[in-house]
Amino acid sequence: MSSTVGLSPIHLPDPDEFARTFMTLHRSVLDGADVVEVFSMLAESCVRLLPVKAGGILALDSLGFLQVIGASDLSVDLIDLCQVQNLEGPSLRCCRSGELVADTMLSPQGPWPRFSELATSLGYRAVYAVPLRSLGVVIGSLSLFGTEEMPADRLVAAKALADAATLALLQADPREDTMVVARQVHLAVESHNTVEQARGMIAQRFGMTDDGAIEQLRRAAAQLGLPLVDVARATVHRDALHPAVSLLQQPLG
Amino acid sequence: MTGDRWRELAARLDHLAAKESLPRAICQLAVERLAAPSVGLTLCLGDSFSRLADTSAVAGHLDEQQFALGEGPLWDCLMTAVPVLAVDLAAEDASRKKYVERWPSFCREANERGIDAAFALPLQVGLVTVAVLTVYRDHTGPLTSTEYVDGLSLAALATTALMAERTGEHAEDLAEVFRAGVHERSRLHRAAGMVAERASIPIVEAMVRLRAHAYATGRPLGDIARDICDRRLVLPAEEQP
Repeated sequence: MSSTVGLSPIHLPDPDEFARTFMTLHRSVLDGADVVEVFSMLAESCVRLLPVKAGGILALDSLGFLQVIGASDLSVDLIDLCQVQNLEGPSLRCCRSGELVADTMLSPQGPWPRFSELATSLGYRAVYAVPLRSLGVVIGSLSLFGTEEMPADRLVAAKALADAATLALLQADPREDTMVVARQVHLAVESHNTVEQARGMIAQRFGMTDDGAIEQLRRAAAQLGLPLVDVARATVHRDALHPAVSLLQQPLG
Repeated sequence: MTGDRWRELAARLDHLAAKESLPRAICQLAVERLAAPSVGLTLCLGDSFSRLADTSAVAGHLDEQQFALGEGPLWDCLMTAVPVLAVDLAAEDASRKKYVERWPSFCREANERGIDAAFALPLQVGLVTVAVLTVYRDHTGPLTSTEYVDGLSLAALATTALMAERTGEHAEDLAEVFRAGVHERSRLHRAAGMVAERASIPIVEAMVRLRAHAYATGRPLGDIARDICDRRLVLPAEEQP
């Protein structure tokens, strides 16, 4: 069974942690964080604050396709689980309706059998799709995956965080200025693609798994204090002057 | 809804490409959808640039000037890999003259030819810009949101079409090729990264090889990408010296 959850008064499970998260998200926008960083932070926050194991961000591109632009972790399984929702799944419905969608049954007889099969094979029992909305315009969805059902008040907290992050990030009014939104989403999608390209290069270079390769890129980014996408872009361009390129000649221990 | 737009654009491009070269057809479609008589398409690979097509002498001149001058919306689009939308190239009031300040020589060239707005849209494989479609208008003001979405869609379609032309895929299959890859997009980019690393070639070239292999063997692109990521397949071309 899938159901749609409406807005109800927010009852916060952990108000202090929630407030800190909200401030961190907001501050990162003020500090110039990009779409991918802010939404990845949102997914990570949801995993920390809510009884879910993983989260992924799907944005609607200019052609109406759902594109992965970030996730709480960039494991291949999680990305597959997000992307398969271009065919069917709660996120597709969420983006179309603009409403939060929950499925705690994940049955092969349900509305999205292929998605349910993949999700259960990865050990998930409950999935949620939270709309990313700014002033009534849906630009994508936050997919949350858990091993147990989550209380409704927690979901409302996720929704509030998602709304705040989206609004802060897009700043411009999407009803007036769809171009700003389309441009941000466009950049986020291409950034994610470049991270995947760099990941393939590193996996090949060091003969490691895709998940090992993303860890290498993350370590390089952390060591250099640079965004992941900067490291990925330099790797793909083979930019000899970029410190990440020399750093990633050897596996980082 | 948007799937229909995609199919419709692809069908129109196919129709135009039957009568003239693909780059010209891409420019022609931009002329139709973005209400601008002057459109140019410039290919950018590594450090070399070449004009593929233009629909007027003005577009050809302004595209070329940007490489000569090292400034302009096309140039910025290439550097930043995002669409650059310059809505008023002649503005004299402080709020809008940022374009004149940013690209003084380009704006002078544009003004002399009656161009008051320019929009540069990237054709991309990830953050690598393969080509730039630049639309020049004789009046100030932004694109409508429909025009903008059509422009971005056309850029995505053009990228797929230009790669397909090199691999010999049929244009009529393009919409399907593109749609089929959507739920495996990440894996496709990852596979391209592996091919690029192994063969020491640019990422765009790796993407072309993946598609050429899919086409030559008649297998879906997603399956090829999966096999490469799982190390079950090494592209034959990679082993050539």
